Amino acid sequence: MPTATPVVPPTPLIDWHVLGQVLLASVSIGVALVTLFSLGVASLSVSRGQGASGSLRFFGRLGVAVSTLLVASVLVWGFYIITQKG
Amino acid sequence: MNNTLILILVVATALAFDFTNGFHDTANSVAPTIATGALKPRTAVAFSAILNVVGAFLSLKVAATIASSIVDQTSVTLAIVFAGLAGAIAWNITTWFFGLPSSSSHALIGGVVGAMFASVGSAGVLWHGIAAKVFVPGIIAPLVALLVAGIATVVSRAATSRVDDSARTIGMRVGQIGASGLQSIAHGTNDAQKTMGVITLALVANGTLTADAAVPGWVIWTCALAMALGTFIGGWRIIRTMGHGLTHIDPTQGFAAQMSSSVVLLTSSHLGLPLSTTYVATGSVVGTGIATRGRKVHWNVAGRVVAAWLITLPAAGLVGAAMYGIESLFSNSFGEIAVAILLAAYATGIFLRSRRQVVDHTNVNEPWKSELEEPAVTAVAAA
Repeated sequence: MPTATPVVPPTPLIDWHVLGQVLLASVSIGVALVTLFSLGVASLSVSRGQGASGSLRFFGRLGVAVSTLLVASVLVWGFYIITQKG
Repeated sequence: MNNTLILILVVATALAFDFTNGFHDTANSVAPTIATGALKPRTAVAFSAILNVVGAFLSLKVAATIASSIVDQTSVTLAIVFAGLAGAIAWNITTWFFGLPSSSSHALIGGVVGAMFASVGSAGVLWHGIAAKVFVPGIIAPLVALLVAGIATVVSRAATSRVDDSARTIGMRVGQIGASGLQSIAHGTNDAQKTMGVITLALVANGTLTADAAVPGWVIWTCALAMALGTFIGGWRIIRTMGHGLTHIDPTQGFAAQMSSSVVLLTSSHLGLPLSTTYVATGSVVGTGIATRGRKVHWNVAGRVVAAWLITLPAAGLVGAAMYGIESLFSNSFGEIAVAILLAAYATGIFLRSRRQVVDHTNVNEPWKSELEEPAVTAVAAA
């Protein structure tokens, strides 16, 4: 008989708490990012649209700027996580 | 002398595994990018390869070695690590041949567990750890990704419903490139570190390094470059299955899938429940297919992929155990040399076989002819 005595970790098979967190964070952040980027694409299209009025163009550009900024900041946060976690 | 020889063999085999890991997992980050034409095939793999290197250097904190909580650490020997690596490589090459995305990490775990089982029996294997770290995340990963990507696809389509096609296509392709880059960096960080961990473990076991020593610079460099080379060469068969075999992907779907995968991987890793890149990427692609009206998901291809996932652990484990058996037949280092020769012969054989029906950057985007087009079926038919 082998003498090795494995230590059974006390962690449960499924950590429902963490699983719930992963699900909630993934769905909310993932859907939010994709939505923001899509709105940015839509805004860009509005700001460049033929015959768009001045204010429409302005709001289009504002939409592009805001969504780009938000997506970029989440990506920076993503990089931060990568460097912290490894 | 013998120990030095085994150490060299282990390091070389670990780098070979790292290479197969790179080319097996290229599909995860670039398949949708290539399928929608966001980047040309070779540009996409080169981009991913460079970012994998960046990722490997981003964080030098070695993740817990692959064996932790899977096998009894005190029983791990160089021979077990070597046999485990051989099992993992054999399984990675086999699944590549059949164009099946499967987890390289699970192949490595399977190989090491099989070798450990052959060495000290069931007592050396931490079954609870395997269930908690392999099976449960394996089930959760594709389902979470499928859900996120599915919702993201629906929302993204609604948000851009009034945008004209060409503007949407360009915008989504740009988004795809960004998401694919993010995924490549995350892959370089996570997966290159696994091999760094294995090599460092071997160096410590051999007494070359002390247990608390930092990872030597050459280990970081060679691991990063082996993975980048594998990524650049590209597992085109798997890229084809992921990009065209599971479902048809348009740029909106591609962006939703890739962004969802990146987010799921990063958040799960951050929250301490790291999920397999392959399972997440596959789940995302299927999710966008389901969420797109009129889009057909090739369920028999998806089913075959899931079947490969289910047998990854036992298959790599069987090879790992057999390799350990061969090693222990011989005294000195002849067993390890025999295993290395066997592995090289198998890899060469599979490579030659794959030349009968080449899938590369020139034909990776050919229309998927039928659900049964998979290289597996044609290769078997050609035999």
